[in-house]
Amino acid sequence: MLRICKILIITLLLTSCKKDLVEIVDISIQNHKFIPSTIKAHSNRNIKIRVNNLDDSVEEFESSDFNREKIILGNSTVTINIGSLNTGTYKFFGEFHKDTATGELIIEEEKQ
Amino acid sequence: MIGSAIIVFREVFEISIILSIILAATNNIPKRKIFILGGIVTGIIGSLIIAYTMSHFGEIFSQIGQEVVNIISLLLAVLLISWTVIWMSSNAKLFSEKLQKASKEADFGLRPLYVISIIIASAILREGSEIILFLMGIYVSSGDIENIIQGSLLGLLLGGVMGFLIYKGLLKFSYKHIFKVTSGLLIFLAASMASEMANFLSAANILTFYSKPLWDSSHILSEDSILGKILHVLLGYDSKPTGLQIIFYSFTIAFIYFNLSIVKAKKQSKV
Repeated sequence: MLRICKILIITLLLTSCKKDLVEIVDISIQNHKFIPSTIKAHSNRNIKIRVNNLDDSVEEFESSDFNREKIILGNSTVTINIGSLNTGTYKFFGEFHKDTATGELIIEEEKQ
Repeated sequence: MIGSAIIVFREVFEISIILSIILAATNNIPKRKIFILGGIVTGIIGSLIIAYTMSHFGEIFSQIGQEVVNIISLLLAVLLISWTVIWMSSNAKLFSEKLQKASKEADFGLRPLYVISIIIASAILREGSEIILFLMGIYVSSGDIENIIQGSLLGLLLGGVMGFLIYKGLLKFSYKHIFKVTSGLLIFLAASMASEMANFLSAANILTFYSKPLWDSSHILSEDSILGKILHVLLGYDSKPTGLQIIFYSFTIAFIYFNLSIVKAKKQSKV
């Protein structure tokens, strides 16, 4: 049992050493809407979304497509680590204003 | 008003599910009320402190502070729930036999009940601080305090009623097997929290591997639906789980199951 655990941990550490290039995507929240509502990034990059909340009210940035949730206070900026994603469209929303605060993250093929 | 009621309901509902299982599991334990109440009060105070710290020292939380708070709170809950399940199994007699109150207390000790307080407090801490920050936000933007209070009371009431129904339902429909049913639910609850913790570990850049979703079952059952939400809290259902989540989820179940079989083996060797 212990040996299996050791092997597992070593494999995990080895696979985690592979570092992707960081890609930061900026987005704002204004009047409980994401601006722009569609953002783009590339596959095989370590993606970070920097959210600038221009409203006075608190928002929670949430996505069940890439499994993240983070509170953003009014008039403040928060960076969310997403990590690398496969190509595709990922939805996200503002948990506290679900009817207006919706957006998409489109992951495109990495340029060679 | 409806807007704040819905948000408060959603967060309270999560607390309610956890609370109702804990209440059903400890149904036979005397003097549990004070510890449950203690857990609730501690959780509310903790939420106020976190909400206050966040709104005044926001920059600490703009990096990975939020994730770290969630990781610690979830880790504590996973460990203590696992411990409770194993402890329940090794003290199964206390749950099944209708002992006299006095002798029961003597056998029991008070330690396990503190554990229950902490589990409850940590659940309230996570969701409660979100509720407070949200309500503070609406207050800042609208200033309509009456509406906010009415809305949040309505949400609190609805969430509480749902929890009460789950609690009563558990007692009514599984009374004979309440021990097995609640143990099973607690195991899945622990696994579900471990899987949630995996996401926060990725988000905090602590564990950066296996962070891509492995499949997508949202067309079958979305987490945004009510059933999806219940299964998400209860069993840890995720329509797009990452590899890390699956590792954490299965490891927790395997760990508890492994310990339960040790307890069982010990009991059999005694007989």
